[in-house]
Amino acid sequence: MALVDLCRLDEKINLKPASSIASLENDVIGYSQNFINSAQLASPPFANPIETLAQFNSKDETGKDIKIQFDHGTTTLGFRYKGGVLLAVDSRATGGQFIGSQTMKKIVEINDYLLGCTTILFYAFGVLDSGYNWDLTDEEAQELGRRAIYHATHRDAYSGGIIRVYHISDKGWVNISNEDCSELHYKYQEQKGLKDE
Amino acid sequence: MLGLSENFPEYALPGGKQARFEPYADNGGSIVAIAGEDYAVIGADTRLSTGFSIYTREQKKLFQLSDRTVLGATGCWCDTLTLTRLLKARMQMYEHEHNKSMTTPAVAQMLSTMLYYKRFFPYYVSNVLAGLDGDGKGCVYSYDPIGHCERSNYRAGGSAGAQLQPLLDNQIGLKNMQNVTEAPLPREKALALLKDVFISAAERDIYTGDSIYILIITANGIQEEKFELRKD
Repeated sequence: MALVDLCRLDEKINLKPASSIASLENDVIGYSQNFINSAQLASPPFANPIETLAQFNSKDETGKDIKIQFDHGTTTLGFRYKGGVLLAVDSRATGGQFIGSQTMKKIVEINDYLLGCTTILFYAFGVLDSGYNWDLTDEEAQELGRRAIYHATHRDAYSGGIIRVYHISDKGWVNISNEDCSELHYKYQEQKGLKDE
Repeated sequence: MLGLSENFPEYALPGGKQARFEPYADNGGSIVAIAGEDYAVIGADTRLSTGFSIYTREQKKLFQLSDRTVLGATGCWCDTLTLTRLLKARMQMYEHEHNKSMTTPAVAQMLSTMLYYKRFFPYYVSNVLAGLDGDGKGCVYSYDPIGHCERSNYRAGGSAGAQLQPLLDNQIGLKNMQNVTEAPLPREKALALLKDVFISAAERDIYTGDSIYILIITANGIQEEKFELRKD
């Protein structure tokens, strides 16, 4: 092996093909560790990720703006009442000022009894507080959730799209309605006796 | 760490300064994918640039992953190459393990998982996946940089994504129109629309131009086509 090293043959010939195949396999596995353990994510190759990533997120080598924008969803609400649980959400996903999707599904149907959703927005609380009481009927509760989201989408530019309403009782969840905000807008205007010219 | 200037002053460069580490580059490029009843078409322009200069006018940005799945990827080109190589390796591993090739929805989910793995140092890549699903229907999947994924029938991505998408919303999605009847989109019309929207994007986006490389995916295989755009 000494002669090989001396002549630097290892730089010209791959003397260990088997180990290079193994390293390729290690690479593939190493770059997708979360296939094996879903909670494991790649740690960034630098210290202070929050500060350092924010630096990367400004310009590239030519000075062009680099903007890594994730899709954000905003408006969801849920409340308990005598008939069970009511969930209502919008469907707009924004990446910065760009509307990435108007049809995003913010409620994840986990199984017949479980729904998953995360963030709650304060725009929806005003309407919800004013109309809420424990003894709402199912129809009233559904309409309250729908209206609260509608008013949030009307005032918050990051919210919009389709309003989805789900009702959960001891029999599991039911998707009550999926209505477009702009259609709801004219419906509610009409109920108020207003008409757009 | 050995400080160069303190310990070896004779090696220090006068006026030398520390370079910033800029791991991302934006090499531009746009993608459009449209799905129909029994087909999917996907096109990407072939310009690869950095800042105000053009690296090449003939860079294909579509990756044929199988005979029914194609990925379009633009953004930081080195990230694109790494990601697609990894994707191909993983698809091969799947094939060896399960003795069948991956369906488009399966690839779509796997890509999402791969992107999320890099949650804290993401790939700077705009991905649009097109193909036929398990039932032979056309499908399109689009992603954010960390793997949020949504299935749709048409999608634009990349540097002119924000210019192209509204045009598709109007022409294919028939958004905010009254008294319109939705009808299945014939393949010829999808192809014509794809070319039209790219012509418009090349008119306004400096990172989109030169030509479009198009792949048409049907049950009979994948056909390719090239269409010239502005070269200025």
